[in-house]
Amino acid sequence: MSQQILLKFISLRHLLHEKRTWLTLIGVALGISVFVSIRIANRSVLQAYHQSVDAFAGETTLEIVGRSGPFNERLLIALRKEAAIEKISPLVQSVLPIVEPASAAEEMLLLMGIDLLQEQDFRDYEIQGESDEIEITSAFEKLLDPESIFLTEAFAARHRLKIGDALSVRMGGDVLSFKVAALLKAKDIGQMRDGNIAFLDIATAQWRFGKIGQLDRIDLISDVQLALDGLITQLENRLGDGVLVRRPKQRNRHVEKMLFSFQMNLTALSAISLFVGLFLIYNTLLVSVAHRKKEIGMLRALGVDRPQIFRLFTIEGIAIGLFGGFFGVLMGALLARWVVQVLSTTVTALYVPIPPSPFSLPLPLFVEGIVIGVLVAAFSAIYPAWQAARLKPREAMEGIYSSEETGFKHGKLCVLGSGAGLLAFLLSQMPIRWGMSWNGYLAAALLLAAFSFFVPSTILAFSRGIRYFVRNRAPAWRLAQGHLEQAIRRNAPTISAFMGALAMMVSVVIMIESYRKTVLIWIDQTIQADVIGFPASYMTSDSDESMPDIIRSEIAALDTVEAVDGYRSRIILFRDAPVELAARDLAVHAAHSDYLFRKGSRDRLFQDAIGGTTLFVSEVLANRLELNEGDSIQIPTPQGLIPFQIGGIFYDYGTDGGKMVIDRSQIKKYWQDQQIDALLVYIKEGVDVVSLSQQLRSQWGTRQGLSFTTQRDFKTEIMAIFDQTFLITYALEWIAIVVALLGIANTLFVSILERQREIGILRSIGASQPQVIRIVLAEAVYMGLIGNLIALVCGFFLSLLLIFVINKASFGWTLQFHFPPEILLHSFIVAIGTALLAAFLPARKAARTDLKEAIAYE
Amino acid sequence: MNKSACLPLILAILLFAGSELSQAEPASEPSRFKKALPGYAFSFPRDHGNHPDYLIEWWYFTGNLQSQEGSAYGYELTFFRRGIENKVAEENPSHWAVRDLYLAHFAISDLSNKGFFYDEKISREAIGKAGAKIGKMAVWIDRWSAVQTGDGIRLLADNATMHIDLNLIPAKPLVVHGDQGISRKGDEAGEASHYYSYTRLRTQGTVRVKEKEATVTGLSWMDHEFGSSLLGAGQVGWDWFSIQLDDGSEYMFYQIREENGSNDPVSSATVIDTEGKSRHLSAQEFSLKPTRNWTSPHSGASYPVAWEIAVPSEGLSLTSRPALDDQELMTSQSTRVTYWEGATHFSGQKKGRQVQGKGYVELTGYAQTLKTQD
Repeated sequence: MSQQILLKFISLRHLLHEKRTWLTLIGVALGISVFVSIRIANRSVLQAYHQSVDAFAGETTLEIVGRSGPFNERLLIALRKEAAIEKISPLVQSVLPIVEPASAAEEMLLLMGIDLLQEQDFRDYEIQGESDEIEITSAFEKLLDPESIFLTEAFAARHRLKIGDALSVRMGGDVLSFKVAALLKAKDIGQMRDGNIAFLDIATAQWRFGKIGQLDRIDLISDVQLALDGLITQLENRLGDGVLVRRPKQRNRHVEKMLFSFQMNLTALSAISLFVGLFLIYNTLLVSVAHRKKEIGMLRALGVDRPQIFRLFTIEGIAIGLFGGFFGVLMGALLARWVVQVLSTTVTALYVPIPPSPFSLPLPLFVEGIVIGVLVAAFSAIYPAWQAARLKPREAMEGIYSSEETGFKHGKLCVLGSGAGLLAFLLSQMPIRWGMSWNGYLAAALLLAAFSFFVPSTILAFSRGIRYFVRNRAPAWRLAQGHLEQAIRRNAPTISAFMGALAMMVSVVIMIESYRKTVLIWIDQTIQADVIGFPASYMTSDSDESMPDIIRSEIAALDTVEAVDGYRSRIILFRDAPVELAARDLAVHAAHSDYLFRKGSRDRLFQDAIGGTTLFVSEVLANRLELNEGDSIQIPTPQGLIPFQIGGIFYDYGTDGGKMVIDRSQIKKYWQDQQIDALLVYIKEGVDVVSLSQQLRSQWGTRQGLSFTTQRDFKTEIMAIFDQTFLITYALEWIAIVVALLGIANTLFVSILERQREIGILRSIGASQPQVIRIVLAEAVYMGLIGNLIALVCGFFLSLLLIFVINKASFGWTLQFHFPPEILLHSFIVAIGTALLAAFLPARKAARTDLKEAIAYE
Repeated sequence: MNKSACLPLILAILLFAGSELSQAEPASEPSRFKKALPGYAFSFPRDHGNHPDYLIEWWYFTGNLQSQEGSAYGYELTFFRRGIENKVAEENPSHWAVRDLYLAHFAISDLSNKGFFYDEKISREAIGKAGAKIGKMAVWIDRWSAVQTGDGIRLLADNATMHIDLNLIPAKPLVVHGDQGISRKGDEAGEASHYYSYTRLRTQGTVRVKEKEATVTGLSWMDHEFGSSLLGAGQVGWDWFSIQLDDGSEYMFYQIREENGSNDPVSSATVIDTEGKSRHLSAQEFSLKPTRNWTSPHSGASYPVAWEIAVPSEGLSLTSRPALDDQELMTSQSTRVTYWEGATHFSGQKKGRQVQGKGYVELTGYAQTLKTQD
């Protein structure tokens, strides 16, 4: 018999006419859609990110940045002597909150101070509506005017600004006012940051931003013939160690690495649904084999050989994968619209401002989704197809109830499971290095596999274990128990899939809760100020706004105030990577607040650091750079490299880029920096926090553009940001659960189908419809319970992997393990609820089974 | 704004909008710039240097060179300075605050290979990136420079395709053009410049075009001009000639063309005899007649590239022939601010004797959009 005929009359009939095929299809499609949507979103976000890097870099081949922040402009003189450099463009920039127009108030604007005469070779500046070259000249001339600013079309349109209108930004209590001189077309750099970018002359920027004699960056175009690596070394030798020379693409290499980890974690999470989908196909086909034994037997008797049978079932599986993949990609594309948005927001909040990512479904991703569907399907079809092929014709002809579940090799599976578990354990013990945690992901996959192998034995043990308890219960419980054991081969994959999804959910919940708890403890211990004051733009983005030290002294002089800690944060390049250097009045901090040090005496550590060149390093940074207490490190300052000693290493969950803390006297001394980013106000006993913060607000708030918030509100805000970042994670979990739910429904459907005769007999001997429903639901409850039981254990181990291996390697945080007891209740509710929900329809169908038809079945 | 769109435009403003600028200023606020008025006493080397009190200034070098292998080259290297008037900018302590803009044009005519290459620069002073010294000749933008060295001047300029390194030694003393130290450009007082030239500079050095480097010798011409208003209203462009004859004399002619097609009567000329003595000629004393036009395939502008030149009082009649037709500088198609500046050969009769010569001709205002007077 030709394969075509077989496919046409046998497979197609099954595929099209059986409801469970459709359920499987939906499940597979859902699983793939989640995976695809995350892939699309990751890609869109990365693309948007790279586009922004490119648009900002333009033709730049190399850039120079100061290791300690802005650097002396006289560096240019040495640079000009370098024959290999063809063009040089210096930049001064600042990100500041807008004051006027009112509709844009508190939006952040990146102001780039450029030398337009040099910029032309680097980036494209296309001015709106000015084809006449004389007007361009006048626009250019206007930019030399100290009040002129170029805005983007998008920004101007959004806020109804036209040429000649006023725009002002706030900087540390001062308001800088400009007049719109020209509008840049929404192209290249003109569309960055959603149009919130403005250009002014470098002379104006230096003057207005208080950076006379300083530059933030120099862009270079070098001789194309020369290898950049050699040139970088040559330039660094010439320019000294105060600056870093790098390719523009390297600017965010560090960010990219973290972004990669973040996206990898998401991809891994989205793979859960795929994994559940895999079990779903496996399950469907296995059931199909069992159900169609008679048919297989007939085919074999008719001369169809084993390879043909094998192919038949493999192709059926692949067909499900193909269609599932196709619909999955389409659904994934829909889902991606939402995911892209959330992801952009999260990435902007956590790592780097990226433009809103354009949504697209590129062909490669489309094809990839379908290919993944087919591969997953093919993989999951192998065992069921083999099962079908090895049936002897006679054996098969005996039909669906013959040889059910004979010789199930529990022992072998348990050995396999133990092996996988052991391997997972060994992988998890590998030393942790910063970066992609291949061993962690592999261990997680092995762990899931290991627990899946234990599912059949657990079913058996469970069934035997409850036999005693259900002995005196309603018959529904007993019948269901009996069937559970009888149908291990079919129930095991369903429970595995369900268990897998649930275990992942449990582990992620434990991980997030541990993280949350750790952050809460950290916030409680380190943020003890009663009122916190900062520029209004401080919490939201990469603002450069700061305030003068005088405000600190004014507030400190109030009767109600005990002490004020001035906090200043700068970004320095330490070993070529950006690190936050935080300077604060450590004496005040030590007296009123704390750092959680890894080791050493707290008082002693603070004593050494106050006023001295001892610093604290965050644990994340210490792990990443392999720094230890007592090490001496060179900190780049405007006065050159200054040796500092690492006093303590402290836990910090505020930045994932790493942080160093020095006494503020040092930043005054080496940077001549008197500015402050945040004020931590400690009040005297008995003073009312709320009325004090109101007083501060009315006195310094509007005048200086400062926000004051109480400790409680501040903490709430931090936790809100925290929760936002885990939004996608939660969503992914729920979709995996839905896929698993479909799996359970599917299995139960088949189970009813197979037991029509049994149910018929039950009905004929007097079982009522509700009784039948109860039997089916009882079995579902058993399945849910078993799944939940294994999932809790598996999830616990998975969460250990997530917390101590994968997260540690990806982000460097040490989290304190926290097992939220409510997870026991929650997972129980989810498991039983899902199982009952999935079982309801099959149960009703079973109850409505026509008596005669049921008994006549077979 | 397109890349490099600025430069020719600034140049246009620099060359043509001087009067416009001074008109635009409110009467109550006097310009910080002086006008070029009669009675100016030149003093050297002081006047080789920068004159920041004047709005506009340029140092201009052209020359015809030959290599030992017989290749012929023309070159142009010009530095412009234009003052920027802005009261607020003057208060800005930043080294980037613009008080002057510097511009430069660099062109090589590879006559033996009929190649013409040009480049341009524009810059603010920017901590030594560009500048001009006071008291001696030293003007530069990046690595392009003209610097007084002992008894000569050294010119350096390069880009990816071309390079010059030339030493110029005066063979004759400098010549001050015009009357009473001013060269008139318009009828109004101050519509003039202070203008002098080295008309015969013995030149040697190296020229590189693409991969080919050559040791060269030849003759160069230098103009240095400064003032605060160069063209008057209604003027559209000029034709300028520098001629070095093989009998040891030189001639400089310029005529300013008006919108109505006539020549402004302020057009004038200077004759320098073999001894270096100079004589000023007024517009009536010479005639310049175009004999052939060349239409640029780049800009579409039509330039009178060949001329008949006559100075009856000198018994001089010359015909000019461009060493190469295409010596048009056009920096960007979108701006179309374009001029022709080219090595030119001269031949004819002087007091009945055959004479030959080389020099440079500058033709401005022929491309359509030089209408900055609108």
